[in-house]
Amino acid sequence: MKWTRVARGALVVAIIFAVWEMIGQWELVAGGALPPPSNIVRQFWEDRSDYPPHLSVTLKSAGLGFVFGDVIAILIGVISARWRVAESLFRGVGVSLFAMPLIAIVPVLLLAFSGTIPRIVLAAMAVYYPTYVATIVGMRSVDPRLVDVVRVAGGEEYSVTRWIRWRLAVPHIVNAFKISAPAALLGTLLVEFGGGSRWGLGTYLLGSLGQANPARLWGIGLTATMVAALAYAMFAVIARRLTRASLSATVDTSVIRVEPGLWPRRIAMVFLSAGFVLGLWALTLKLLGMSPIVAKSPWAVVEYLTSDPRAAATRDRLFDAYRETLPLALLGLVCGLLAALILAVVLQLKPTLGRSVLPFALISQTMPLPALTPLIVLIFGRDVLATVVVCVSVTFFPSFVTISQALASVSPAAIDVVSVSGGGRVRALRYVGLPGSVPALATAARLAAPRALLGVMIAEYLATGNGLGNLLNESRGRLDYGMIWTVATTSVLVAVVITQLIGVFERLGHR
Amino acid sequence: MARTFELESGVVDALNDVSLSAPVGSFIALIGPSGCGKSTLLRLLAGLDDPNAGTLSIGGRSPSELRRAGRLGVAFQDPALLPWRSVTKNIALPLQVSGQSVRDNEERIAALIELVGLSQFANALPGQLSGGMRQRAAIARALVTEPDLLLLDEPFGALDEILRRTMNLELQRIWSDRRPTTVLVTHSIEEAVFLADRVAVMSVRPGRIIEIVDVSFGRPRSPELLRSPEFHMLADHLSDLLHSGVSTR
Repeated sequence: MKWTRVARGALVVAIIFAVWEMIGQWELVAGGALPPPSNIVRQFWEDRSDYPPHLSVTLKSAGLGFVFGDVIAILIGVISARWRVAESLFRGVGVSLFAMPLIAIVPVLLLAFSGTIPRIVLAAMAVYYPTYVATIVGMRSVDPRLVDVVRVAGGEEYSVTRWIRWRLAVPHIVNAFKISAPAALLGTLLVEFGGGSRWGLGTYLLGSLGQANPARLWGIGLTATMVAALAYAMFAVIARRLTRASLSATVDTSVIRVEPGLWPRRIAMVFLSAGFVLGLWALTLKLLGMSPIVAKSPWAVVEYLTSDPRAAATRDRLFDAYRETLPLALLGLVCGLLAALILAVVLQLKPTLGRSVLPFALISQTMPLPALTPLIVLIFGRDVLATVVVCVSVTFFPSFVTISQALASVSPAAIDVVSVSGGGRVRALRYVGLPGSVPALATAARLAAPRALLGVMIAEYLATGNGLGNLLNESRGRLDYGMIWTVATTSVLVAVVITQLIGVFERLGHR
Repeated sequence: MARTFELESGVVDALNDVSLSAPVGSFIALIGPSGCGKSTLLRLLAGLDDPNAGTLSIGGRSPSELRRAGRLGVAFQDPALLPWRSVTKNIALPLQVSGQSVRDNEERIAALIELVGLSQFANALPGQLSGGMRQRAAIARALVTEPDLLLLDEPFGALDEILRRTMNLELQRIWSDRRPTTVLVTHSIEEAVFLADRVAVMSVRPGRIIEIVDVSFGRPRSPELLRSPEFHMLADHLSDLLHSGVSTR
């Protein structure tokens, strides 16, 4: 049984490569923008001496960011699992880092730090949320009987944490590393796109974009993908050892839930945790001792948008950019979700096919897709279509995994009811599966929305020259520091508001 | 002594005017229908919860004093063993929690493992044990600190009837070895009569003790006792009490 599955997987891979080779050889896509695998391998071999210096810089930055980000996330996770107040306070940080379009703060990081530090910082930021959530979930996954056993033996909360909680959290945390390690790579690559340094896989990719050598671009893109896949596989193996069962490879989003308590308390906590984020921001600037001309505090951004002499013109430019970016992100999000829903439904009706595809979907979820935007630009050109394709490609996989899992977890008894009433698989899906997966669709939308915004901004930043991404790029060129900070701040704010709104729908659906 | 809970639907009298005393070294069983507050009473005794009115005193000390001093032992229906620890290390957990050296107590742990018949499985993980073996390990863990008060909450509730009888015999043997004062919560009249010196029958809403019945059979009690007329008379009497408790609500 296991071997037939392996064989089926191998067959799928072989077919994909055969079709790809044919498409490439006959230059069917955009006049050879998709080269055949054989050319990519040949080019990779020719470039083999170029890779080590680029790769080592990228791996080092991503690795350091991964370690720092995880250490901080685990510490804050442990504190948050222990004290409700801490959890409420750090909620704003988590929500912001979850929703933040990473590319938006690349210019800010490049202003604030030099060398490879911006890469390390962004990698750490990309890592934080999945690890933080896993730590809290793991620390809280304790059987209450075990807590009683420790307490009856004379222990208090400290003993419960020391003897039980941390050990239960370890498999959850390692499992989160499956997602956060590729995320660290993505963060590093995005900063490398921002330029500044000579070395790095992202620098190499961007530098090769103008050389009319698709095979090299693909070689670099596939190398990045391989690194992400290896990191994923490594932690998947360790996590499986630790749990002897595979945990799902999705970010557990259940933890960031509604603040408990009455409305006044909830609102107060929202303000408190938002204030905490702003406080951290201001404190960081102070600690770094940055000039207020370059580094804008929260109030400086507000001033820039309100009382500054050019504030009105600034606001117009900002709104114009959002008017270009947000509809595209929405379009890409909807297309990505629809495609994911359709494929998930089709595979639910053809389970054998589904079993061969799902493993690929699980792994592809962790591909540094936003960083592969240059490849998509190569194929689809530099217009709106490329933007939407980027957006769909980054939203599709996480949505597909979330929706598939929801469809697959429909209660067998409910399906039996349909079968007994004479309905087949199609009816079971129509009356039970699809209605049951509506909340999952909302969850998928919440997971995918930040990625949609990120995808559009990257495409704009690197290729199309529109919207927010372009505004960010332009402002860097013009040394318009106020605008750089404003775009970063408002895009995080917009992303947080969007994901929170989707979260409201999601909770309604779960009722 | 009383304990109430405030729920959204109002205040629930989990326990009302409960009074019970036990001589040192005796074995008390609490029986009663579901929801009569047996487990609440046990949690109060374990110092995991506090009464709204009245006091609990164990040898002159409060349950939470006893708990903090590590003088309690507890076993639940679910063995609640740590899956990553071997039998020996699971049994050592209460020692570690109460800050005692495991190394100094190695002999005692080994003797306990011997007592519960798990010598060949000392280094096995809980996942490798049967349900009955896990429960024995949990009982050994409850005894490792040589507690002044042993609390057993349906320890064999998840086992089948045959295994349950075997485990009852085992428990009697283990208990007779050290005679800690023991409170056993159970659904089973047979189990209560077979093991206890004194059976407290509880009823629901509010949870209260309706009668305390002394069991005067000599020890050690053998399986033959289960077939004796005296045993059945007592069991029938308790059964009548339980049903009257249910019908009067």
